Amino acid sequence: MEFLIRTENVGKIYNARRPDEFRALEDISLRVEKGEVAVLKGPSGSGKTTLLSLIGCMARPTSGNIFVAGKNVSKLSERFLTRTRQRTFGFIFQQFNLLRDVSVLENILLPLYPQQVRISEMLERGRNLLARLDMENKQQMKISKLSGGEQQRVAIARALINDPEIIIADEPTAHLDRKLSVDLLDILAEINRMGKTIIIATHDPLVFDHPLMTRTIAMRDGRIEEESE
Amino acid sequence: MLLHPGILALICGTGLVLLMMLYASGLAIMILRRWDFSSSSEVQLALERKSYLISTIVNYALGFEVFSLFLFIFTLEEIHPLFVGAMCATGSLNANPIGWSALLVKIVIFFAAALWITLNLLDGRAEDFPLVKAKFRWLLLLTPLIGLELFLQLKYFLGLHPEVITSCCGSLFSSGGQGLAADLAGLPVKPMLVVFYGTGFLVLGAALCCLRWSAKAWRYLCTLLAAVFFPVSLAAIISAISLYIYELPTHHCPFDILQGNYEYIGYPLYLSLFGGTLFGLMPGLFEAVGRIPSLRLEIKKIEKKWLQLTVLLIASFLFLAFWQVAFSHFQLAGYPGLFQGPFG
Amino acid sequence: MRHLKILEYALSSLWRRKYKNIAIILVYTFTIAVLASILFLTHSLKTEASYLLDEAPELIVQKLAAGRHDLIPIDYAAQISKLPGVAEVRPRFWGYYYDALTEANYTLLEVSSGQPRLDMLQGRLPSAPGECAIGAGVAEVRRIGTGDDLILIDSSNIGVSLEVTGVFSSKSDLLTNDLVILGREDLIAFFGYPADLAADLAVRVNNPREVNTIAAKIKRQWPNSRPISRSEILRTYDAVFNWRSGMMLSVFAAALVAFCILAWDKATGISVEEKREIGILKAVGWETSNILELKFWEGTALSLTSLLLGLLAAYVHVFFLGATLLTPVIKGWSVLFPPFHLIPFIDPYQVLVIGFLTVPPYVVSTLVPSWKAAITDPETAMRG
Repeated sequence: MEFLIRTENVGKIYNARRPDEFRALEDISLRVEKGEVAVLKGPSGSGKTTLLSLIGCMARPTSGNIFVAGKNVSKLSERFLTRTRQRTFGFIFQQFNLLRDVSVLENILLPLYPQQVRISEMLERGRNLLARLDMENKQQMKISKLSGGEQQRVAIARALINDPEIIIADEPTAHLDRKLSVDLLDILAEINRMGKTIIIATHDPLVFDHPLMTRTIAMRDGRIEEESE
Repeated sequence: MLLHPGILALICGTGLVLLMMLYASGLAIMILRRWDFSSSSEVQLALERKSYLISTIVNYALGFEVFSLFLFIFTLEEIHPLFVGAMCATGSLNANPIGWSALLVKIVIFFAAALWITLNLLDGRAEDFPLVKAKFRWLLLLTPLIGLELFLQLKYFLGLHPEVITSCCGSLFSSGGQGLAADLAGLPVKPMLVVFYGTGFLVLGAALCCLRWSAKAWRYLCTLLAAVFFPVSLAAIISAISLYIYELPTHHCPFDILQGNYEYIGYPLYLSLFGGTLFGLMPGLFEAVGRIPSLRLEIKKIEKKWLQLTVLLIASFLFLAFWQVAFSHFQLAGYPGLFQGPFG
Repeated sequence: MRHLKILEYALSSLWRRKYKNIAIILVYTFTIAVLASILFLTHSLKTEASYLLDEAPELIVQKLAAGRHDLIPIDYAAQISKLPGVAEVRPRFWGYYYDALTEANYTLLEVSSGQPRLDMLQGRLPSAPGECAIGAGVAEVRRIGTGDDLILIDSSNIGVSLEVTGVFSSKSDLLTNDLVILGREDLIAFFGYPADLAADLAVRVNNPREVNTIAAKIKRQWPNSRPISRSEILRTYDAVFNWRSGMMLSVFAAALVAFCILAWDKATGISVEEKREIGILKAVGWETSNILELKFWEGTALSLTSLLLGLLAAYVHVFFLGATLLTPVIKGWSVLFPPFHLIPFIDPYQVLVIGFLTVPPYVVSTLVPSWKAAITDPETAMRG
């Protein structure tokens, strides 16, 4: 069966051939199937975030190949990398990365601005998503006025606006209390039921021990230590 | 002379553009030396980013060049009262004939920059930047052109001496005079119009054939005809069409049609001519690009747009020219037939 | 569609950082207003000068002695009128008068049919000896009006009293402000003109295109004469005003450069917040070219707003406030300086020139900083 995501001997070096050279990843080979919920676990500095950014087409690997839905994305120009990222991935960042002085609706619609999508369609998609996440009545509020849980839901809505196949979440529970963390995992479970593949990087046991996870990849010092399903 | 505000604006503006282009050229040389798309090193990433900067610079440079072509002509129009005998922009140009060269270079730069921007656009549409080396080599030719433009403009404006009596369009563009302009003005009207419309329809035909068939011969033909059509049109405007616009058998000036008393007809005429020529040149020039695997599909899509625009603009231009001739109150004696009678 | 959306985002982004942007707009507007004032003022003065010369004779013939203007024998007139193409030759009488009382220079001119059309403010032209009509500037500076007496000292140091029969203005204040019109006999007596001499000769020609030919003939036949054509005068005015305005522009180029340094500094000193925002945009799918477009729209909005405001401010400054800051340099030499109203006149060419002088430098100063911002790595958003 064709894996949705496949990496072959991927490596990433920052500041190559300089005194501050840093090998973030080395010889990473992994596979993620369609519909899976994969979790990258490990202490900070193990390379989880770097690997996520490579898989999520945010950067190119220094060595090795990455295949997303059968397409080799390791050698694409920035434009095509961005296009692939737009079409295939939705991101939930560690610190939500929402624009504070901008309304909820506008935040959610940000990914659609540079695309050839009509404004009316944009608004419709945004409002539908907010309705599904129970945030409809807060569309015009500024982010700075929302609670942590509400911001989390806005971040999720933004990740879903393009209807991507794969959701990438980087330490999603890092700034949440236990209750909100559980809420988040429930939402992720629902997203997974919609057919989406999810990849999560975390060092929170609440997440990597959750029954939702179908594949666990343990990392340390830029390498894969262990993989289990 | 140099302290005229419009002239200052032109010289300083062109100077700025030249500086920007020199910077861009420096970057281009760096890219040409070290570009290696298969590498994912940070150097390569930095080069890719720099190429964005170069594109932005050339885009702005082109924008400026388009506007500065207008500013140049308007300035010539504005300063003509300072020259004895000058009645329009032509008179200003004749006060120091280097001005004609400056104008010619400006027109060349317009086309060159527009073509470069198209090349750059195409390069960005492929996944692997296949045209990088080609486009930066061409860039290194664009920069000296702009340097030449600045030099000619400076030489022209510095060499203007208001007290010199100059000839104006009347004597320059008159059949009795000497020189290229006089020769152009002296071309017989009816044969000129026949050649003009003939070439125009040939261009249209070639473009339509390109839309229908994919043989590369049609594309080369279209480009060649467009390249020929441009000077033919200018000659036609000077020798024939202008007569009908000015309704005077001796007024051949190509600049006065931009003025208000002729309803600014020059603008749609020249815009459609320049635009139509530009898009008409592209199919043949970029035909080789279509053979690059990563751009094949892209070229097919965009070429269709070029051809449609060529047809639209050239047809508009021909129609506008026809309108001026057919509906003018002016009739040329001794030219029976189409240009007299029903409409005149 | 995409461009519109990015434009909308650009405008809202500018608004979110309104204090910084308002500061830039204020300085930019001021710079443009200064440059535009210079251009509006010179153009208006040029237009006034051309109105002034509208009614002037096509050709004026003066006599030179030792290279300087001398009185011309009246019999030259009869001989010149015999030249083919000459319609009429009229001797003119005029002179300059320095008024010690007000430290002003007046121009004394004879009343005649060859006068430029003058709109009377009040009264009439002098029709009898001992009468005069004066320009609005003279009236103001001497504090007299119709019915009052104007007292001048003639060439024999005797006081001459003239009754003011009218005070006039003309569509060109430049022309009439310092004018005193009196009868020919009064004027000749005042300056002590010899019987057979006049100040100069006004020549009217049948075909205006022949002016230069006739001028050449006159010069050949009377080598000590100086024929001056109207178009020559217009050209000289044009050239002088161009030169003055160009000079002022060069001086104020320093202001423009200072503004550009400010613009560059503001653009480079991109705030942490702004950097974060761009990182987020890149992370959620904006390409570098989209960010560059965003910066382009931001720059365009700022430039156009400043251009409009600057033009407006310059218009008010020059045509409503009399260009108080600039007039001394541009007008220059005249001592008599009552305020006069400039003809409001703007044409698209001027606006184009102002746009060209001010927008490209701003664009260039913000180009590289914009690009640096646009190439922000989306990965930075991942790392927070």
